[in-house]
Amino acid sequence: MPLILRKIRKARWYYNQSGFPWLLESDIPADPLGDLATNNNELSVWQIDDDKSNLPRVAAALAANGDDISNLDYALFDQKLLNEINITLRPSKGNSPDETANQNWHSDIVELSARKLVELAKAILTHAEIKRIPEKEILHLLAQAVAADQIERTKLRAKIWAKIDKLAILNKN
Amino acid sequence: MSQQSVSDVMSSSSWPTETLSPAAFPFVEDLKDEWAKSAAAQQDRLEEIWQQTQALFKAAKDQHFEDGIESVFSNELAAFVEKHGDAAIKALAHFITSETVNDEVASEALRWLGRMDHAPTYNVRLRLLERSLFCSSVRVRDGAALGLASMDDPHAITSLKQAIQKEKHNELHKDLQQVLTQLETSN
Repeated sequence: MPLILRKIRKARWYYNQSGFPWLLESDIPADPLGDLATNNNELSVWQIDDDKSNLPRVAAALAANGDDISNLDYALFDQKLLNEINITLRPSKGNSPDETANQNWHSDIVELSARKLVELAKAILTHAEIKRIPEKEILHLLAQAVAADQIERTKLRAKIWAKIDKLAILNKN
Repeated sequence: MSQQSVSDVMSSSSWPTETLSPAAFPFVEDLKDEWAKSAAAQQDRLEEIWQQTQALFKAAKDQHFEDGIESVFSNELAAFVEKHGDAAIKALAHFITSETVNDEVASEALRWLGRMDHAPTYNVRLRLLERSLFCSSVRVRDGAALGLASMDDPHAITSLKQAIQKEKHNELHKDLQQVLTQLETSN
């Protein structure tokens, strides 16, 4: 079963009970929900192969949507976790500058209620792998994706392609 | 006299107050007046920067931030720094390091301060990011680490090493180590 990736901001998920003395034992802080903002009760996620072979490409696709090069933080969890909390996943077209990634690896978590969203946040806090790809690595991934025609340069913001160009010059010298 | 600035003239070394009376030199009264106006204008400017910094942080509290995505806050922050230079960074530094700003907003500010392409404030931005590695909030420290990763400046290595030694949060410890490795291999 594939893995599910959601872009997050890692520090929002830093959590230990002692840091939140006001929190009930079965509860979680609200801030992680900021990374699970739904639209039409749906949440955009990406499917990652078991061997994570498509992870660099999906990461580049996500970063290509940005205004500037940045680190990419993500939560990665087993798709079966969604089944366990009775959450429905539906394949859909992604909205990144990488058309192949959009067609093959994007899905929406659908029919999300507030309760299910909190269940999902709890599941991520407990079971997901929360990782960071550094800014420098993201720049290299994007440069590779552009060089391999996975991402059209014209779909990138000016600041991003300026940095890709600068990297290309540095690599030449 | 024309080679000296007003503040030079008014400084104790160039103004022998013990031995000469200002009344003996009427032009000095004009200079004093000019200096007072200049000092007042400078004070007004600093006051304005201070208030703008407060307003900037206050307005940002309700904004949502995402890595790599510009926000009203990040755009206003960049414009503010470009307009006021070091004075803006010093005001930002006061609010961030005194920890009177929302952690999420402070973290966002540090990320974009590291990413800014603004040579005149480079050194003070670097110092603020280094200092913020020692703030009590894990989110602020994370923002500082990300800002330093953006600057990619090996001068921050010493501060980073100290921060790593002090860091109690496991995940952030790993992330700081990752930034250190990057800076150590940076050209």
